[in-house]
Order: sequence, then structure tokens, then C-alpha cells
Amino acid sequence: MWRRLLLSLLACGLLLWGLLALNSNLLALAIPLIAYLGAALLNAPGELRLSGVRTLSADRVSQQTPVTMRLTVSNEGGHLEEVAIEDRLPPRLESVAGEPRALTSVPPGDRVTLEYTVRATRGLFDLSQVQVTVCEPLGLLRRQVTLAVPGRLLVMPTAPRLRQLSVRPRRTLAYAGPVPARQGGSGVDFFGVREYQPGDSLRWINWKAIARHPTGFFANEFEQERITDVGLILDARRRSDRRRAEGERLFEHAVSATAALAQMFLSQGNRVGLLVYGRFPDWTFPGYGKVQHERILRALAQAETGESMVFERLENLPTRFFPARSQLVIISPLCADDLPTLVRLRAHGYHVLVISPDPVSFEVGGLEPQPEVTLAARIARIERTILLRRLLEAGIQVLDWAVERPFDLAVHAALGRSPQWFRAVGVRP
Amino acid sequence: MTGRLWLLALIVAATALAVGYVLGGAWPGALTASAVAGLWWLARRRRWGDWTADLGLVSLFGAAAFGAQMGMAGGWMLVSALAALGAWDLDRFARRLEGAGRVMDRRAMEERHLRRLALALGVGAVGGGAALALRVRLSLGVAILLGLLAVIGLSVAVRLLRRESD
Repeated sequence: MWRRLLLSLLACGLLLWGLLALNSNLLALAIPLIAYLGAALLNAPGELRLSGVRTLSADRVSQQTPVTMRLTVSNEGGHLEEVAIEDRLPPRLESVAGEPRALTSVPPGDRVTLEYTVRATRGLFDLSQVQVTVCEPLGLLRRQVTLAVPGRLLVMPTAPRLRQLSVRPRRTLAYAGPVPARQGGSGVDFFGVREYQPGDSLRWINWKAIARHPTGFFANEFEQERITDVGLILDARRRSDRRRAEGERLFEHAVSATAALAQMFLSQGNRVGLLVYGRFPDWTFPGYGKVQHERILRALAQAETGESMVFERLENLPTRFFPARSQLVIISPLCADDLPTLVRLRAHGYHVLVISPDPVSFEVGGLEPQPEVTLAARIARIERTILLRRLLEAGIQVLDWAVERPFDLAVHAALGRSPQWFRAVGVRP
Repeated sequence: MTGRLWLLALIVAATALAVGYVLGGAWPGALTASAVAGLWWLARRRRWGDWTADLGLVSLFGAAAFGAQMGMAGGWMLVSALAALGAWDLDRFARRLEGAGRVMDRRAMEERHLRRLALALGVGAVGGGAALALRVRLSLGVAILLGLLAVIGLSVAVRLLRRESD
């Protein structure tokens, strides 16, 4: 637009100047500009009749997996001389090979194919905006259309594989599983001694107790192991997230940890639900098995930090989503004002485990080691230690996770459950 | 190819302008033309903004118009204006190619563009040459009328261009 105006003003000015000054040399200078404008007008692009098709090598991948995209734009109208095609990629989708844009000419009935490879860390990407700009050969007149070429790419978070995790909620479900049920029956861990009942295995008879009390006949009882309800709560409040200068985010570590925990609890047969607590509570209803795993991964793929007046603090955490006295696993870097809410959850009978990616070591890792930074880190670390200690005093399990350490190693060191044969002989890790 | 032709057009524009001014005995004009061309070349090399091409075109056309008004040889001024318009077009074309990511069949596209440009400039050269050669005596009233007609015609053309582009 600006360039057409510029040429027109130049031509107009020269014409007027030439006519007013009665100078044919000035008029002669205006004529090439008029000829140029006329040539552009004669070759102006007509009505655009374009259509597009998009194909993806995969529409569901794990993060950092390259995906090849093929975008075909067909011209069902007249000849198009200069056609700039640009597939507008969402900001977090990175093109690693090939270009998502091209300049070409398209004869009538012909098609152009763009092929390129993209990669992303995590997310659900709607790919529908393809911008096509058609110019006449001199580039002065252009027509722009946005083609709707739908496509969707889901990039799942990757997660380390966890082995067993020691949790002891007060309430378990009816089916056998790996969680100690606080009830006597068949199991591995010793639970107590009771009167022998017909049908009890002879191996369960407690000979020492019979020797002490010859009037009775006693058998050992073991703790039942069942499945349980697990509620995963991912803290997606913007205020609890940390970001390093190079763009690395603490929230991504929390998402990865949540995915790992979901995979582990579901593979043990537990019923798992997920609440992403950020701009709004994004709730994935509890369920079992692979389908639930897929649902949770989809929710995590789309999880983003956000701000909300209502959900700025944990006190509005909708606990009714979770069955009473079940296991809650909260994945959060923790803010100072979260303590009362967590203590209240514990008081309501939930068994609470807090997996806390350490924001202090994360932030310090991205800063220059200066005296001020060291001092500030020390103060922040003291505050955090006090907060975590108060949680422990309230009976809340806490894993203080420095994200530089692999999550699986950190979990196994702090919360790992010893193998059954270890537990049978009374050895703890 | 586009880059070399752009440089050639720029040199021709500056040289023609300088020759016109030198023949008219106005050395400062020749130096100004060379300086404008040099700045345009520098701007292109350093990848300054798109506006540098527009500024170069306006400057060279302004210098040519001033020379024509001051009675310098009209032919040299016309050649300079044609070459400046060509350089401006090629500069913009080169920028479009650079900003397009991948250019499919680049050579054919460049050739087609050059053909169209040559045609437009050829028509401009013929028209401009005719305007220089033909002598028509006009009274002031007729000149004003023609001027008004030219303005109205150009504004209609601009409106048409805008509509075509939208």
C-alpha cells in the first residue's frame, strides 16, 4: 500500500510540477512511473481459489520427537505468479529441518508441497493457519488469504519409569494391590497375632506364642495389600513457577514428575485422578489402566501455568474431588502460604505426599555465583527448610527434589519401598 | 542474478545523473547523485530496513527532477529515472526472495520478473522519450486543466490499485 502511494505521489508531483512549470523534461520523468503502475494494474492477481491438505507423519508423539509435516496447496484458479505460502507454526513448535514457508509460482490446476520437520517439548498444537500471499510480478499489488488446513499434533511429556513408591493411605479399595491396607489377612508384612482359625496355613502358626500361652492356639496375621485411590495435584500457579534465563522452566520438571507418578500408580492397578491447579482446576476424573494413563498424559500435555485471583492460593483446592482418606500426591515447588492448607488436608484424613521440585537450587543454578546471590539463596533455603520441616511435623511426607538429580533416583532414595523378600525378614531400605 | 542487476541499475542511475549534471556544469549535483547511490548500496549491504530503497528512489528521482528543472540534459535525467526505478524494483524483489524461506524454481521466477520489469521500463522509456522529443505549446489554463486531469486520473488509478489489492 505504502509503495503504491509512494509511486503515485511521485508521478503526480512530477506531472503537476511539469505542467505548472511547462517543462516537458519533468513530464518525461513521470511517464516511467505511470507505465510501472499501469503494468502492475494489468497483471493484478484475480480471485484466489486455493485449497490445502495437511498430513503429519504422526499426530501423537512424545516430546522432542521429530514429526514430518507435508502441506499441499492446490491452485484451482488462474495462474499465480508470486505465491508466498507460510504455515504459521505455534510459538513452541520448532522447525528443525526444511522451511514452513516458500515462494513459488503456481500454474492453474497445479499444486505446491511444503515438507518440513518440527519438534516440540510438550503441548497440543492446533495447526490450521496457512497464510498465502499472492503478488503480481512487480510485487506492487498483493492479495492475502488465510487457508484453513486443519491438523493437530499432540506432544506428550516424557517421564522416567519409577518402581515402587511407599504410600500408606487410610483407605484402600477392595481389590488386591501393592498398598498396605492396615487390615489383617494374607500379605507379606507382619500385622499381628490372632486365634488360629480353621483354614489358616500351618506356616502361619505362631509356635512361640502357643508356648507362652498353652491354653490357646495362635496364628500370625499379615497386612493385606490392596489398590487405592490416588489424587495427583499438579501446581500450575504462575507464582510457584520459576524460569531460568535460557528459558528452562521448573514447571516442565513438575509435569514430567507427575507423568512418571501417574504411570507408576496406574501400572500398580490403582485408581488415579489428576487435578491441574492453576488458572482454573482442570480435573481428570479418576480411572484405571491404560485409557486413564492416556487421559492423564493428554491433560499434562496441555497443562500450562496461569494466574487467577481465586486459585492464587491453595486454600481453594477442591478436595471433594478426591475420596475421603485417600492418597494425595501434590507436585508443587510450594509457596510460604501453602502450609495451612496442606496441614488441613492432613487433618481431614488424607494421606498427603508432597513432591517439591526445589525452586531455590533451580534458580541459583541459572545465576552467576556472586556474593549477593549466595546470600539470597541461603536465606531462601533456610525459609524453605523451615517450611518443609513444618510439613513433616504435621505428618506429611515430603520429597525435596533438586531437579538436577533424576526424578527416579530421588524418589527411590527417599520414598522407595523395599522388595517383598526384604520386608519379609524385616529389613527397610 | 537479481543482486548483480540491481547493482548495475544503481550504477547506471547514479552515472547518468552525474553525467547530466557534469555536462550542465553542476559538479555538486554529480557528487550528490554518487553519494545517494553509495548510501543505497551501503544500506543494502548492511541489510538496513526496506525504507532505504524508498528513500533512494525518492532521492534519485528528486535529483533528476531538480536537474530537469535546472535545464540539465533531459535524456540523461530520464535514463537515471528509469534505472533508479529498476534498482528500486530489484531491491524489493531481492528482499522478497530473501525473506521467503525457500524459493522454488528461483531462476525461472527471476527471469519472468525481469521480463516484466524490462517491459514496464521499456514502455516508460518510449513514453518518456516521446515526451522529450515532442514539443506542444500549452497555455497556462490548458496546463492547469491537464494537471487536474492527471491528478484525478492518478487518484482513480490508486483507488483501483487498492481495490485490486484488497
